[in-house]
Amino acid sequence: MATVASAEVVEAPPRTTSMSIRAALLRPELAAVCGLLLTFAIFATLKPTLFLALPTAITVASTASELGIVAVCVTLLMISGNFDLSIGAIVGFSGYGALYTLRAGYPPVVAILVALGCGVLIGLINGFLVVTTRLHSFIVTMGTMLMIRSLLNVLVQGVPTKLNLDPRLANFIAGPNLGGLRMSLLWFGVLVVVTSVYLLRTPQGNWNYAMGQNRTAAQNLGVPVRAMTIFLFCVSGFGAALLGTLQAARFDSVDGSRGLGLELYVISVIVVGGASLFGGYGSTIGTMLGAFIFAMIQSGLVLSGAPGFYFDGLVGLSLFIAVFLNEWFLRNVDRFRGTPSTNTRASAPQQSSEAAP
Amino acid sequence: MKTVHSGFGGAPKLRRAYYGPVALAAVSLAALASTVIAPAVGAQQSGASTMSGGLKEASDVKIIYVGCSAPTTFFWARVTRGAQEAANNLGIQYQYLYPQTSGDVTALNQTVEQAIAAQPDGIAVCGLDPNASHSVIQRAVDSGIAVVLTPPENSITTSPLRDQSLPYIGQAGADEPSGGVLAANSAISRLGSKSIVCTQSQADTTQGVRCKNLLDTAHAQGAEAQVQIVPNDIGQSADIMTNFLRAHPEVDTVVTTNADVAQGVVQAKDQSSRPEVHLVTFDLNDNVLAGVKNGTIDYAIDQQQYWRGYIPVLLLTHYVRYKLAMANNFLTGPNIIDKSNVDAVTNLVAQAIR
Repeated sequence: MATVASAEVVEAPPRTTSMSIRAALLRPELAAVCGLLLTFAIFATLKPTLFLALPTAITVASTASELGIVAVCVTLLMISGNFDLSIGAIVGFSGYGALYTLRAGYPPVVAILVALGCGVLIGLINGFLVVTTRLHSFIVTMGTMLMIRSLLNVLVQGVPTKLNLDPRLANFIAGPNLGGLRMSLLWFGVLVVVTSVYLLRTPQGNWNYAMGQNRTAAQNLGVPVRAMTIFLFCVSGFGAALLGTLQAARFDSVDGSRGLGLELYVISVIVVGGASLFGGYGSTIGTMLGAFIFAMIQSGLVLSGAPGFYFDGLVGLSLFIAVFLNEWFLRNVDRFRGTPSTNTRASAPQQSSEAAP
Repeated sequence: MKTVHSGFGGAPKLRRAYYGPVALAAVSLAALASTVIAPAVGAQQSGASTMSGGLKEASDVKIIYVGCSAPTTFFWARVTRGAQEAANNLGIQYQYLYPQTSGDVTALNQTVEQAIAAQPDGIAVCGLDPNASHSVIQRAVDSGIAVVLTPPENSITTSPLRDQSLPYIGQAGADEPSGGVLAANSAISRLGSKSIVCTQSQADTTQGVRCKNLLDTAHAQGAEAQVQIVPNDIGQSADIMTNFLRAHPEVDTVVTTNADVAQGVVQAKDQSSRPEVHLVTFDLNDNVLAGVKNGTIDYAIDQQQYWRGYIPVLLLTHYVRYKLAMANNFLTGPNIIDKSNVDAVTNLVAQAIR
């Protein structure tokens, strides 16, 4: 497949201004940038005093970071053509990993590592099951989601428990240490940078897109599809466990139902960020923007005094509009370029190939 | 299609392709046996053995409790513990069934159908949506099975005595409308609340009833009240409530109808620089008790779910054996847990009784 081979053999021609504009228009996150600016402008106009204030920035950053940490990791998996429905259950499970480690008398740092390790381990199991059974990842991870939740309920009997984590460590992990903004924003930023470099500047990133576009072709061209799939499920599990750890530290408690329904929010954020549900297209920067759009809509609606019973409906409507505009924008970019309007998404991996060294 | 022969000698070997379906069938049969066949055996025996006075032996009484959720959640672990202890104390046969999909009334009704098929003497049914369960409950009654609904269908806010036109021999549990009424009345009288917000998770009927009655009661007393929908995610609900408190400086009291959300509101009060806002929550857990002790939560409204398990089993057994029926609903809640009684409750929560 051209996208894989091109990383090694194609020399990019010198870039002209029109090519740069075209490249910018083809970026998966362009529509999300427009969506973010539009969302910001709407709420800044509706409630300027409340919306343009530090507490709003703090809550928007907090919601966006916590959702985004998982969404960015799942984006990699989704680009490869898989999805992980067990992320919510991993959020709940990892917190209890930390709790039991602390109760066993190990230092808090070990408890954090165990919590993260729980996520990676479950990801490893998910990935192994997907590549060995060849069942769709939706089915496999739905099964593991139910099994993890069930195991969690059996172990903890549904009892939310105080974690009693060292306050200094909890503050370092999840405290408001960035001028009032929570540390989750920093971890989110680090993840976005690392995953973007991975997607755009490494051969493995290219393989990721290739797997999502045509799995068989990628395999025939030498992409280690099985190993990559397992690796990406581990990344997804790690992201969920990181959120579980951050929330456990933030609220100093663990709860078996934590993360319930998270997967739907994560899908929303990723799709708003411009990624394709069918794989092969997307970016973690787009997902980051999607997370901020989601958080901004949620905060903006509350600050605008949206009636309580309509709140979820308005969030859903806003997300629908965001995704619809995203799709409309991408279709019309092709028209703007004067080319047939069918292949914008297929072009994206080529972009990443060109960008790769 | 090839025939699969039983036995080992000259029979063709089972192909690997058959292992899955055969195993699935075996598991299904085992599950069917555990839920249907075993209780039916008990029911066949029950007609024959009676005490000399015509009373049914306690050991022959078979009660099935159809709950709304798995017995492993915080709430239902206490309910099922109460029901099991009632069965042990009364010396009866007892079984707990629950739908695989929590909160789905169709799945609940299917579970009640399974319970009817087992021909018990009595069934305790979770009142997720009593209207939607009427037809299946009527089928149970028509089959000669006594039914207790938990929590009650008719509220004491509308009729002080048990509504005897309903098909149940008794009703037990927290009166949820009264919970909303108590939340509003206590906030106004104890905390001097003038503007209340009630948080509710989307599509949770119990929380909806609590909020609706809170709003009606508060409005009737001249206080302002409104509902804010919050997601299950504790981080998101904390951030939403932070912005809510910033956007509504007139709100002086938050009532959370879910104990998990209360923890997020504790943080929201700090983040919005509104520590003076009162916080009342429904239901108990470790964090709520800690909050009541340290003053971040004013008080909690409890429904004593252990009794929600114990009392229906007791009512059904006494009805089956002695034809006793309560004239009123047995209300297990609402009750207030505040600083004056929180210490007494803490140990019991740890023991999965409260």
